[in-house]
Amino acid sequence: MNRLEEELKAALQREAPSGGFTARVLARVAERERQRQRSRRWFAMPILRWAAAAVIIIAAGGGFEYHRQVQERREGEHAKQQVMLALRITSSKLQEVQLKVQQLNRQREEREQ
Amino acid sequence: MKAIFRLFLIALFVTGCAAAQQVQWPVKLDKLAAKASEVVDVQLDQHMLAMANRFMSDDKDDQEAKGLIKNLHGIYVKSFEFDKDNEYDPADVEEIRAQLRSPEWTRIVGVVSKKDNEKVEVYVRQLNNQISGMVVLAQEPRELTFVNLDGPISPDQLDKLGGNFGIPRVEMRDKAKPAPKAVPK
Repeated sequence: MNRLEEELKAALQREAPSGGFTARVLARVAERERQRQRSRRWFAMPILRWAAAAVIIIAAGGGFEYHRQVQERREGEHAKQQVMLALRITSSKLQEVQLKVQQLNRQREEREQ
Repeated sequence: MKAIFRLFLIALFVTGCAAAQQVQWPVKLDKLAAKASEVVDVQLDQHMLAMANRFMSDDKDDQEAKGLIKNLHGIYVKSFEFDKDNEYDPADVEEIRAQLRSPEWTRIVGVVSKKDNEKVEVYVRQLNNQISGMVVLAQEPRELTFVNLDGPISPDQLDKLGGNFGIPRVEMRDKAKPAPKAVPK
């Protein structure tokens, strides 16, 4: 048996755990479980659960409403600009007609004089 | 079964009436957008007009616009400006004019200038002695404009339209220069 094999054997040799190992492991598991239950107990209270749900719903609703209002404002402002543009074009065309009618009337009057 | 058929007929009649009243922009004229240097295309139905109405301020123009659009069913404007003359075929515009030859439409003004090669016409639709729509059709060598205001417009509003929205009013000569008062001898 060479030296490497001896070293491996020594490293992989079965060792008995130190005294109280099992008790320590079990205590740690129990402690972790207690912590988990403590944190769960808070959330297990129905009022808190409802409050959390209400906060989520209100936040989501508020966000949705805000987004809807922003969208509506954007569309409304755009529609308003379109209305004003359309009316401006209409107005300018009616003005053109008025001017032309006016010109024709003037020319006719001049011819008649 | 009979009731369904009757409902179908009523729906068909109502749709037919609505289509008959509405002046349609010929689809083939949409191709002008490719040739035009400037295009204005406004399509506002009643829902959009109601939305625009909510966002009008206390400004004079906004208030005038509010008063005008509150009863309208729609505003439709198509305007094309070209860099060169005769980019559109005047015969294509005839399709619009043909729709305006129906009995409910009356041409109230038509100005033709052979010298400038321009033609501007204003049509109104009358129902029960009330103006229920207006169309302005303006043909110029480098510009084609179609305006359709669908819905009731009072003569007062029509008059206001002639000099508003940032466009200075041009008074008719008779109004602007009142006849001099007779001086008693």
